[in-house]
Amino acid sequence: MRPSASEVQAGGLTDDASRSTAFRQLSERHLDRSYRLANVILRDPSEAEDAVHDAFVTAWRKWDSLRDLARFEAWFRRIVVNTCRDRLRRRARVTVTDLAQHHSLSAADHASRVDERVLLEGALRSLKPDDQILIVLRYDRDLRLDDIAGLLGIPTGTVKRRLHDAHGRLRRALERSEGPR
Amino acid sequence: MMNDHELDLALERLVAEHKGIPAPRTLHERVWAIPTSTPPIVRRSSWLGGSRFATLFRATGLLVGAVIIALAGGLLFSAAQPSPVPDLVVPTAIASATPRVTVEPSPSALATSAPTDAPENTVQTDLLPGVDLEYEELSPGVFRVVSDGVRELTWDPADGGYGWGEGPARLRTVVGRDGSVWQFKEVGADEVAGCRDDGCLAFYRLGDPAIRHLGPRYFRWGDVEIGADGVVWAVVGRLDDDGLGAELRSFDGDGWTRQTANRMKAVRLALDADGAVWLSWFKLPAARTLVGHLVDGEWDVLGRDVEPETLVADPDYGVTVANTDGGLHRLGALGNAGDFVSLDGTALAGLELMVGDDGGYWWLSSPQPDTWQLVRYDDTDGWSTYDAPMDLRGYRIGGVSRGGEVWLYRDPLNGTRCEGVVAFDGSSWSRYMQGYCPFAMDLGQEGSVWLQATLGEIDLHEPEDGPIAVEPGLIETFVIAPWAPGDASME
Repeated sequence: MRPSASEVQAGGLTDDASRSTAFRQLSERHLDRSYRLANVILRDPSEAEDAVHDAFVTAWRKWDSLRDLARFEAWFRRIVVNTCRDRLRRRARVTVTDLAQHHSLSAADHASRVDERVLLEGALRSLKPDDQILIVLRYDRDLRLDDIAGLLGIPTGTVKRRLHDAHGRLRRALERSEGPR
Repeated sequence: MMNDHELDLALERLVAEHKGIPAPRTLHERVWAIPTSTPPIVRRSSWLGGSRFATLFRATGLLVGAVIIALAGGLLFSAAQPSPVPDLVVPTAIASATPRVTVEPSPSALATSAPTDAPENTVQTDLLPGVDLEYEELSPGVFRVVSDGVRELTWDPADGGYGWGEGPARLRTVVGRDGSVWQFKEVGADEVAGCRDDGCLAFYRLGDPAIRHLGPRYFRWGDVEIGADGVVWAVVGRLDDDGLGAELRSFDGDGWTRQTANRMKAVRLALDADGAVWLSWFKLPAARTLVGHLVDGEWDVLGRDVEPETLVADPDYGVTVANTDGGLHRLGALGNAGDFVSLDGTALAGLELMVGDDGGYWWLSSPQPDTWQLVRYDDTDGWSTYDAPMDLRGYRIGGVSRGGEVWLYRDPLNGTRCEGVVAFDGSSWSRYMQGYCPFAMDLGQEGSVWLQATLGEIDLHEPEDGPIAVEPGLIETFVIAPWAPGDASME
């Protein structure tokens, strides 16, 4: 678990100012992408903003555990995912009564698209947080299965199997919410 | 109804729309405002703004100010010093201006959660929101809780005639998923209605005057969990059933409900992050071992013949089963069989398994006689073993905090020295409450550590020529805040 001597250790920056500068530079560089990731997972811009902020606070607290500055992005994106997972869990305990306010639906949205979005969001929210995360990440065109596995810290094979299961549960949740036609 | 293709397109649209939103300027400003002028603190969580506390406790100016105010006012309040942190929160109860353990605190070092004349610039340390705790601070961040506002929390086992192998050894401290803190103990017959003459097992939530009756003293409890809805779940059996006759009960505030059929002999219990109730049990007469979870009042069996030694809620699955065949079975909540991880010879010792929020498993292992190690496994980094600066024999893992610290204490039944508790943050060890023997521990959601302990030397080993040797002491309740710096480094 300990870093090798050749590794550049973030916590090894003994000078406080250097650590602070490195943290701020990396934060700024990765903020936008992290926010987009959080927004995809949470599907709520304001909550995504809070989540990313909390993730950066966590990252600073854990700064000394970052062994290699070059691994900041992978390390931090995992913190973002974990922060979002916590928020999804808390969200699951809260009854959401007005889905529309969470979506900022544009005027251009067709009525059927609105229905589809509300149904889909409702079905997603009925799933366990990990299922939600798996599904939305799967539909991020920039992420491969290996990337998702890295973000979640589980093997790729596990991602495939759990994704298959989660997709089935989403389908059943949609069928329940749509009802018989 | 959407077909699969339409569903794929809808999901792609959903993701693309949210992904297309850039970070707002306010987020840049908020991240920029994160105070990084002080070194990062690995071991602290966000509980009460711990890093700020830690910084403040190091500030000589604050300590001088605290002492002056304490002397002038006759109360133990601390003052907030000017600080670059705008939302500074300062505890009112600082019993010692020096960061070391004070095992004999002054009686004047008492604070309550409702100070009447606190200086304007002080804010009360809220150890348990909503409960009027009365407490004193042993050392920075370590509090002795004297009362929960409705009862004294210090008690003498000798008063009830309890032997040390009974009362204190059967204590439980349980933090509920709703943040509430509960204590389980033996009580005398006059302390709770419905008790028999020889007393009974009972429990109460801190701050709630009600004491609940769980059963007669010849009962025992196994795992106890409290859900976010306040429902108490407990594996309950008789002391003489060898662990094979227990049942699962739930208590919703009005009364107990038996949740297992006659042929189910409950063994281990866990509540997962989503509140699902998991149980392992022997099924009679086939004597098979099953693991399942409760769905609409029915047990859904997901694991068969996995020989569960312990269950633990797993943030990445529903539950993980540690078993005697040397592996971890990870079971999902909705029927998927989950994964199996071989322990590769790092056998569980003491059948304690804990899992952190990051999905890493922690347990104690004894690869060779007289050699004990702390072991961690996670899917990314695999195996890691850690040697401790102290002998881990007889230690138990009390929990893993959200910040990733592993908390351990020596079970008094397994040792004679009172060594307090230790925390391991992945690289360094810290000791807290040296000189105390903890009997029960649980971790709060925000990283606080709740425990019941006694001060002094005890010896629960049975000498050759007599009964169990006992050095009696008071049982007291303590809280260690996540930002507590510890007595001393153990490196």
